[in-house]
Amino acid sequence: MCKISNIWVSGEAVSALTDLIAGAKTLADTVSVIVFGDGAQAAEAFAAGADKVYVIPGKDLLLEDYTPSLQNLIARENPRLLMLKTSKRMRLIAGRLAAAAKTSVITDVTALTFDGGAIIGEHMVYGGSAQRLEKSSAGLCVTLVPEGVFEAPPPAGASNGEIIEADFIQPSRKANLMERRPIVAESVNLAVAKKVVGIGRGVAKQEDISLIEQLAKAIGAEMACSRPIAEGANWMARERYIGVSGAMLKPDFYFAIGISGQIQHMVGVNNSKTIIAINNDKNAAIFKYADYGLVADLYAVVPKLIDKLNA
Amino acid sequence: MIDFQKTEEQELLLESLREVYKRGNFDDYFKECDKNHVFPEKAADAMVEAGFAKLGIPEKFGGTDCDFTTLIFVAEEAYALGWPSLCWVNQALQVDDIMAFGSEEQCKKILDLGLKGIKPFTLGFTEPQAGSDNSSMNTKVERKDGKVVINGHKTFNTAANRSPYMLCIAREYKNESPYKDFSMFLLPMNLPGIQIENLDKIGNWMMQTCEVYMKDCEIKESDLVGVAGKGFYQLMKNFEVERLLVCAANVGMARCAYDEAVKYAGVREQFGQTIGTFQLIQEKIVDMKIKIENMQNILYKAAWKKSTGQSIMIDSSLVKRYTGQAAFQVIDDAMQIMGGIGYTNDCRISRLWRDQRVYRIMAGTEEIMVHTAGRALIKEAMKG
Amino acid sequence: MSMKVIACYKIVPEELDIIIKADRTLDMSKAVLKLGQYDLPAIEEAVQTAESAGGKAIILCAGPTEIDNSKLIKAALSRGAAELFMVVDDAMKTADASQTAGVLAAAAAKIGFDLIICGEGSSDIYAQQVGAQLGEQLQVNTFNAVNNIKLNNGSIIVERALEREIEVLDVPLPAVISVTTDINLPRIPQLKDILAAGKKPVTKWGLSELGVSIANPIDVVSTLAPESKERRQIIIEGDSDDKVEAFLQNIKKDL
Repeated sequence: MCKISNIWVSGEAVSALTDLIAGAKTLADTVSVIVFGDGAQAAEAFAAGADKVYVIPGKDLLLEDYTPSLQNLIARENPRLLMLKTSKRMRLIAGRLAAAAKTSVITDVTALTFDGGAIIGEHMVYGGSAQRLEKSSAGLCVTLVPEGVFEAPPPAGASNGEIIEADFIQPSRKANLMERRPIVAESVNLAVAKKVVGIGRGVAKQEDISLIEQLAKAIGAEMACSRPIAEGANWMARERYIGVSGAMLKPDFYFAIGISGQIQHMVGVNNSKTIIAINNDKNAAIFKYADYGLVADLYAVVPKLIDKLNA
Repeated sequence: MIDFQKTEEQELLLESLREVYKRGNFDDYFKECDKNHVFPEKAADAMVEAGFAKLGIPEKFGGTDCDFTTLIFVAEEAYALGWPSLCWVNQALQVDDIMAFGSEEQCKKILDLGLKGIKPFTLGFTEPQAGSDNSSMNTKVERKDGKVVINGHKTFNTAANRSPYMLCIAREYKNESPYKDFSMFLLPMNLPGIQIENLDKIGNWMMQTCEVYMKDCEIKESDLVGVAGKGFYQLMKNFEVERLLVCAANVGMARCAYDEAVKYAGVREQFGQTIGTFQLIQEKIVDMKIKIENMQNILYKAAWKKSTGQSIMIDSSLVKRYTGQAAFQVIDDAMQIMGGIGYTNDCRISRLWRDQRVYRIMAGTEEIMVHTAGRALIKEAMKG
Repeated sequence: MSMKVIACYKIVPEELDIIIKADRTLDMSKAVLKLGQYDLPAIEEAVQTAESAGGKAIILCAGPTEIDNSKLIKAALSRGAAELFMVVDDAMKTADASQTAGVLAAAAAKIGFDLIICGEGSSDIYAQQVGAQLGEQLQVNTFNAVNNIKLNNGSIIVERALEREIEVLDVPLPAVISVTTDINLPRIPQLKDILAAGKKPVTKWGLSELGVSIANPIDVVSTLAPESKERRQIIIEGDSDDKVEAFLQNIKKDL
């Protein structure tokens, strides 16, 4: 695949950016990383493969407050491709950068390729029913790239590069930070789980989740769920919900219990090596995606499975 | 001009109904309520909160004006989604019955209940010796020392255990013609002397049907509804319309069974192919669909006649007899398509099969429908 | 001057009605149009905010001529807003987030506003970009991931649900806010709301009336269903002990 000359990479923190830097390195001759605050993160960026680091200075600011400075830097340097690591803040910043540059953002790209001078990004549309290829032929191309598109690099020794201090442009509009509190919710990283058990509407009551947890424990899996369980019913944390607007996973083993298998859920687990399903509805779409299925009432068979696994 | 297109407002209202149903995820809940023989309170509350109890109760009393055809569409759709038989929350017709003849105080009591989706009263009509032959009711009202005293025994009282009142028809024994001798009372169900016994039925487990014994129940003259001696005629006021609402349940329940069975036929495999590829199954599906279409057509036409001021005296009997039988056949065929699974309580069709059967008996048996429509049709023919 | 709150929404195809053809292209011809599901909380929040501020809730949408449909208009207006503005132009058929934001910005500027509320994303494309771009184009404060809005004096206090923290900001108005689906449970329209919807004012503009045109440096190359992964499809029916055992032996191979 042909390379382009320069890619700019940025995100909330360099420590969460190493995969993008490494990925950009395979696509471009030069990788420039933009960091905010001070240059302390520069070394980490160089270690991950950055050639150049722009530092936008600032203190006690919302990340969003760096947007005018970024806009200014972009207008001055005219980068061709900007890869931003997907997060809620970066999604907002990406939109503001694109709007200022009168372009669009290719969001949540699942693949990035070059065709002559064009940059082509792939992303999901229609609730996972389709993949769309979007092409940027010229000008600035802003992309949001989530975790998992590129592999993180092997830890490298410290290296050095060029550090450039960019101008800080005072934002003309600002919000006042009143409070910040960490989300005390369980820290679950489904993205790294090798085995995942997902539950859906087939589980009738919140109390019944403990039954499924016993099964998950017996096979050493993380618990996850479909959208209605986390949103609406609030039986499980938002972080555990799989689907278009939730977690996108690639486990080795996905065990769907009482999940009907709507496309919006399945796009989040389609890349699992093995998909297993229990559902009492033989018509349920989940069986079309399953390697192994059991058509039965989960309340009848899950206790039996637990007994057998723990035997 | 025949136009079967629902208005945009009707379509949007049905979309709201489906949304409440979907949000509530009621199917398993109904299964549990059915198993435990309890009323689906939680689901009913959700429907009341979404405004479905208010429909058809006049605006000035806190309801939402709604035409009769729309009430039919809504009831049909609720049952088609799987709402349990006899448990629909809209009481507009009961409210209307009382509004027509009741005192201000009675209207207020009934309105409050109706707006909350609570069935205000059980109908105190049928007695052990007075089923289809309703003129032989002998529950008796006596007036002594300024007191009004009721004695009698009513049966097949839907929701007598839950309704705060009974709309009790009692005989005055003042006029020889029984039809001119009945009076209507709004009888509080918590009176001393009232004893309620649940009947052990084969279906409709979420709504109790009871026997009610009334022994020296003392009420007040102000509990009389309308005019003494006119009770029977007052009862007839909304009779035809109520009958059509019962028919909407028939159509809805048939649709519910049909939808489930047809989907099953499309995926259930036997002998290496889906059973839907067998012509014996296809024939059932086609005949079920014809019956559903016929039921809707005859029901909607009667509703349209009623709303355009035409008499539905004959129509209401035809619709009641036809939809009761056709719905039963559709549900029965649905069960046949499901095979053994259809006969288990896990499958909703078994509930529909048990529940719908009584619609051929209650609110006028299908034989009485022949009696009422038959005579009228001959009379009509002789006119020309 | 009472507060003017605008909620933006998009008319989208029902994704369950999308047919995937043999060549993996999508057939949208059977897809019923509906209000985007992530936009319903935006409308609800605008209505509630306007109510508590004693202001006016306005809804705004932009799209091709198909959106000019009386049922869809009633469906939107039955959710509590007082008035609808729509930009109807077939040039919007292929509009992406950037173009849509440009059109909405022109419309919002013409309407006038204190606060604009957008959904998390459209339920068809789900780029989650319109709110941010709209705010930037209008040169006002803009924040996303908001799951609570409280009125303050000349500003709003918003709570943002970010990945690892809740952030509370005091945002001076005017502003454009994108809300999460957790912010409220959108009302289900009742008959009286539906009937009232038909009587509310609707204003329709074309792109030329707003003086905006559509141009975009990003082209859509293709939209194709993903290639389906081959699955083994070994399905057992029944809950008897030997069926469960057979199922367990199957899955143990991959455990």
